[in-house]
Amino acid sequence: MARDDFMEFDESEFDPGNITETELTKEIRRDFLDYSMSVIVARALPDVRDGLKPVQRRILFSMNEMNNTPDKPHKKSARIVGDTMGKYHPHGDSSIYGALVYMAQNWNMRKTLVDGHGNFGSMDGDGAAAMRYTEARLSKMALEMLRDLDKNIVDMQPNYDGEEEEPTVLPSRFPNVLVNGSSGIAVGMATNIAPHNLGETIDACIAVMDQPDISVIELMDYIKGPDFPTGGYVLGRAGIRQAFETGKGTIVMRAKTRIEDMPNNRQRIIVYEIPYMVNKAGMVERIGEIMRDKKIEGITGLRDESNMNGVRVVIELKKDIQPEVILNQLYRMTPLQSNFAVNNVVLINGAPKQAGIKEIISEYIAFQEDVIVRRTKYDLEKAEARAHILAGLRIAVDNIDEIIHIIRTSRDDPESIARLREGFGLDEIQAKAILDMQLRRLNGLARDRIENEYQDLMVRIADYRDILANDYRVRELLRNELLEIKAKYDDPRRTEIIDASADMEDEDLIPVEDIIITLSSNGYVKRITQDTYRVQNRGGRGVKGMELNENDVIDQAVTMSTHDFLLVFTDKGKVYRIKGYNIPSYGRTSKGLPIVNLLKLEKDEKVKAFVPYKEEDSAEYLFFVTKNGLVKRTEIKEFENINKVGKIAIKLYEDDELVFVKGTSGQAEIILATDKGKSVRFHEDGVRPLGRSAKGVRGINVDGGKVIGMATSEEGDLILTMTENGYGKLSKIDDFRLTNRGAKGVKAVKVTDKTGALVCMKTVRGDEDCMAMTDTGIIIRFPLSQISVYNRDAMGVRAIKTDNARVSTITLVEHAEEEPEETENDGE
Amino acid sequence: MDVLRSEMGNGLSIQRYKGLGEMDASQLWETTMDPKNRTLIRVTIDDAEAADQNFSMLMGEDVEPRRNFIIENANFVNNLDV
Repeated sequence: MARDDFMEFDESEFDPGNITETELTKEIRRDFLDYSMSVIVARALPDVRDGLKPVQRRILFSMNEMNNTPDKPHKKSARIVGDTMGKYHPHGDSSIYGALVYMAQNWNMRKTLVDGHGNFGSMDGDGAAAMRYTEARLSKMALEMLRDLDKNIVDMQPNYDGEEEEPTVLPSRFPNVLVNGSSGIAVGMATNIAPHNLGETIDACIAVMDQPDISVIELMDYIKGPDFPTGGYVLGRAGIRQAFETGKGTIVMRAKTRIEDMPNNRQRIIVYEIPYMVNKAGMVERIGEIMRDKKIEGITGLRDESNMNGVRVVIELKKDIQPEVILNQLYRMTPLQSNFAVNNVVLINGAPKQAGIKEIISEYIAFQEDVIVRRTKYDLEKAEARAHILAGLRIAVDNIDEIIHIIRTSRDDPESIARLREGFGLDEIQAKAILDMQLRRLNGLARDRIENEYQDLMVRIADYRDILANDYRVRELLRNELLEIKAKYDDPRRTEIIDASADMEDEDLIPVEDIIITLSSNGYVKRITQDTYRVQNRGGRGVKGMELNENDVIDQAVTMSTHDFLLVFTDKGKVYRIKGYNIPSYGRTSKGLPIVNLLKLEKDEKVKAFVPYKEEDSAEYLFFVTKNGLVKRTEIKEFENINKVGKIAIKLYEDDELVFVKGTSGQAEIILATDKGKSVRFHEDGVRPLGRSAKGVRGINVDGGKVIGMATSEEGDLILTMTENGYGKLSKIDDFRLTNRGAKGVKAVKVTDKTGALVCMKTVRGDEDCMAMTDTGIIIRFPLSQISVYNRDAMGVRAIKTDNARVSTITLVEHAEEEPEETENDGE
Repeated sequence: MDVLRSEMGNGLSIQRYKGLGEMDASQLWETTMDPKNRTLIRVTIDDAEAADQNFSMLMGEDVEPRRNFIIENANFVNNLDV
């Protein structure tokens, strides 16, 4: 072997020493148990009594031992960490410093326990400066955690090397476990306790002391819910109640915002309080992300203007965007709304337990009673010891001549002591105290002082004994001491608890409004409120409806509600669906938004028809008409599930286009008209219902022309026709002879050079308002009552002064009463 | 301990090792390397399948069985690192 040059390993020379065997499974189970229990009881979970994890407790104790108190200057954090690590906490310095920093961060702690100096990080997740730069001292609150520690009121234990002693728990004179909460991940379990308001928590403690069987609901009169240092809202009380009852529950938090006005009718959302434990920078980044991914529309600007005075995240909105709608989406998609998963796992008697709020408070009260009892015992012992000495001194003062004689005639201290004890029935302590007595204690004033102190001690001793003998005295003390802390340190609640439900649909925030949705031939869509248009008398020049390019004309206009679905049919026979409010609202004179931004239209695909699809009161059938006169009837139910991507609504032959779609009840009569002024009328029964993707059947013989109008008898019993040059008339529907579908039909209007081609034909009731739009973008609204009924084949009257424009389309809206207005052209 | 203390007098000091990093080379030899004093532990596997299951339970993704194991055996723990 090549390895021969190396020293050969000779097994016989190898002395393995002692070997024991262990079975793998047993070993890992035992090791894992050691590890997991260590983490659970001595690392990650807080003690129910003081709400501290060992590292926190050791830091506070260590700082206290260093006299690093609020009345003295700050000390370098590295000294605190070093002391804590060296004396009590044999673990990583970075984790000790991390715990120190956390206790100083006022956005994590409801009442900070450490008063930090220097860069202690930020809500944006910036870390603190290194521990060699920062300084810290105990906060005033922390002194309440440590108060009377020297009075043997909590158990002490040796530290890790037996050189020092450390407290097993801090006196925690306020309910820190609830006030500051805690969070930690152990093994197999974790904890997440919310912070609460100091005053409320103390009130709740007193309520439980007064009425131990108080219900959680009643307790919520005192402690209303978590109170996060970052403020914000908590939505609903059900989550709080469940968390209070069981120690586990989800609390929905929401940022606080307000709306500010900006120039040009724009608004901005200001976020000024964020949910607890939310990284503000991360939150802003997330908003930016959904803006970039176009998951949210309507935000034009995003800035974090937070400074030392507080949080201020600015979200600027587009014109006419409802801030509530944007907020609602932000709540849903960003940490602007976040959950706090309460999981109150605490150590009770050293064992982990998930506890409801009452159990936590009860444990705390029991501990505090014990603290008071132990403190009183300590005080009593001290008082008794002092009284004992004073009793001896009193005797000495009363018999001073004799005492002096004894001392003068004694050879040494032991002899003096022995003779004093014998002569006056004193014990050794008293005798020694007499020997230590200064001569000045013999003057009159000093004698009185001894007497007074003795009497005072007697009173206090009696009081201490009374406290120890009576539980009610202990509780009363506890109550008063808690109230004292409340009076001294309480501050108003920061988190507001509101009733709003956490999941609001955008729709709930959008007012139900009657709207008109218009589409230009270049594909610009917008919605406008119906009352944007004034009623004008026939012949008026109209209010300009839209800014349009010269060759862009109004193509479609339907009236519906913001909450209705709009079915959008295209010349290619496809259908898309969109909610009314999803179509952006624009002013009367703006042209709107390209519809391709809302729907995934193919190239060259043109929208031909809008049909409102309502939850109630909807049509039974959709009736389709193509340019070449084919018709199809399909149940509207087949269009229930249409999304933005669209579906086929009618299969078309080559060179044909879908031109009209209307809803019908199944009882309607259909009237179709061509540009040549011919029309047919037939019952829709004549067209058998077909499936969504089927082709149509012959509806009218277009005779080389094309279908320009479709009307149904259900819309009214008058037929309105309008020609290019603004000649309109009404005719009775019965004037149109019933024919079979597919015929060439009868004359619908007398088409001449003067009238121009027939461009529109509709069924009306006669009491609506007509809105006629021209290819120059003029909209004229007039009541139909101003037009007379003519014979079917008449020419009609000039309804609109078109000048050189041509009527492109007409649409009908409910008649609105309004004062006739003189201004003919209000110049907009 | 007291017996030791009385035998050895005041020069005695106690050191508790929290990690090998605390030891000098000679201390390490005395306590862990010297075949006369050390104890080697030979790990054996009686049942590979059971061992595998235990590893999955203790270190796998499912928290529930792990928590149950800890709760059931919490009283048998004998070596707490406090």
